Amino acid sequence: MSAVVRTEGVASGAGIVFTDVSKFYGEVLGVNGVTLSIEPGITALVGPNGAGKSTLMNLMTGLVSPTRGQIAVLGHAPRDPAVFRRLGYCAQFDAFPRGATGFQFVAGFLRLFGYEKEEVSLRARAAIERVGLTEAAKRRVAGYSKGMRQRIKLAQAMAHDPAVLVLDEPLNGLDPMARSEFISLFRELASEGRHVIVSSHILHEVDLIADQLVMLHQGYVAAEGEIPEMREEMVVDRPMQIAVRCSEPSRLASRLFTADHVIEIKLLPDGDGLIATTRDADRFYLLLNELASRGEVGVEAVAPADEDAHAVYRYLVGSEAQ
Amino acid sequence: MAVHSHVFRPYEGARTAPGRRWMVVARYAIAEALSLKKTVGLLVTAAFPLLGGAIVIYLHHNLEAIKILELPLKALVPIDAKFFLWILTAQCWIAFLLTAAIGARVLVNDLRDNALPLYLSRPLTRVEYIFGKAAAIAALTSLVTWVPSLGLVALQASLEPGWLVANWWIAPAIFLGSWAAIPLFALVCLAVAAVLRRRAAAEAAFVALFFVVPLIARIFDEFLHVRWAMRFFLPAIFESIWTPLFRLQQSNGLSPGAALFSLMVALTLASAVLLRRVKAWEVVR
Repeated sequence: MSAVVRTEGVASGAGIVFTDVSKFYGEVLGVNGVTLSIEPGITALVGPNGAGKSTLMNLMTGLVSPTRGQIAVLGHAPRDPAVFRRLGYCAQFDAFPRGATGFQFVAGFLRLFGYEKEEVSLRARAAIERVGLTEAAKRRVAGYSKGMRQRIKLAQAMAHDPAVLVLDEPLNGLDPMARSEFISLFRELASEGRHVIVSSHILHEVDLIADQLVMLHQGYVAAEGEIPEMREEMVVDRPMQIAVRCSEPSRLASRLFTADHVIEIKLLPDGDGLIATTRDADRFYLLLNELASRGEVGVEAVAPADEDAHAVYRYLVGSEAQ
Repeated sequence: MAVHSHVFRPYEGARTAPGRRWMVVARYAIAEALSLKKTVGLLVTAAFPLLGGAIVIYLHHNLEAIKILELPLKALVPIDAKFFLWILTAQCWIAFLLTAAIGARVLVNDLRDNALPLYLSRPLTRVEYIFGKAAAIAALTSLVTWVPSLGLVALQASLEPGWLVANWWIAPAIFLGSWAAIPLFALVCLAVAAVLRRRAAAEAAFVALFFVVPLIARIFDEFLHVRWAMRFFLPAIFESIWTPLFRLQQSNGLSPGAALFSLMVALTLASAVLLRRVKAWEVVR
């Protein structure tokens, strides 16, 4: 399922389903008319601050109620106790009981699920080990670095083995190495059949993470689905840019300009390629194949130049994100 | 969409009863309160009136000691309902101070740390969360009110056979009298903390509330020629509730019904404020 505009009539199922959901905080818009379905795998909610990412997360975790519309999480209403057992939430902000160690933090919240003491201990240790904090588990969270805090928050979110993980800005404040480890962990969790929903306002990082994107802008869903599909649907309004690495870019440019779907060509400053803008990517690739097979140009590499979340978001909302 | 080859299987084992989850909140709040030096200090202070009471009871039943000290103790301080009412009054003032010292902290820290989303995204309702916090305060204030006072009753009963039968109402009066004060202190303190969200301000406001409100009411009394102030004055409210429980003569003019009504209004208001202010997500305007 994918669409550049909101999908309509999403059937309810075992995923997370929003049906015409709006949330207003008094006169302030949180989200408006959201209809979407989130399947297992990694789904990224993207958009700038104030786009409605956290509101959407609060709605699916049952922390706030919708002003209008319906939400079903694994077939249940968000505040159904059956959902809480299967949902793990990692808040955007640091929130730790004063003086608690990493282990106490994870174990304390696990007790709210009703596990017995031994089970709590077992699960807390396993979750802490999974985020690589075993050595620091007995230290106070107050003394943790930002990265360690993000790890322990993730541990408390997944310690009860939830089917749905809702992680609000989980990569904030992490160094590149920790980001890479977190992304691997998200992929691992998603490969186990879970819904991993992450929010981010940093668009280039969601390309690395997500199977599916939900792009939010000023409380509305601007687009949802997979990036290549979104880009493909936008090609009529927004011609696609394709980067070509080749030995003779000027010669290739002159040949490409003979095609009516090619509307712009920029030679790369290093002289080893060009970026072509086309209204029809399929015909462009066919033309390029033809030229290469005839030996007119030596093509080294071809790749879409604007098929990423940043470009799609910029095209959709006409503004720059980070 | 990626193909997910693994099948997720959630835990389906035994769980503790959902009705007991608030105890987790209470347990952590008690641990937090007991980690404070001032809590320990107030708990120790609370022992002094009790120790005094225990000494008086001991001397009553030790004629040798009374003779040595040459005290007319039996005539001056009889071990009766009035004696235990005095002990309860002293202990409730200490419970008031203890609530002021710890009550705001157990809630404000969570509010300021944005911890509520973590609690409330689990099988725990807002009511259970508030109840857990209030229960922590109630548990600690119980330690300085009815629990030790009933210990004194037990001491007196053990030293004077037949006393308990003759004064059977004193133990229930202590228990019920304490529980008139404990929820009021806990809920009002939490409500003030939920509104102010600053520990020091909430502690000061809690103490001030019980003195400023009757003062304002007293001003209204003067101007409107009514008698409202007594309905807001905590010692008067408690005296009106406690004296019938201890079968003593009431003297302040506020009827027990009016005192109970004031108590109920305060509890209802505090609960309403808490339910309105303790939310997982704040409205950002």
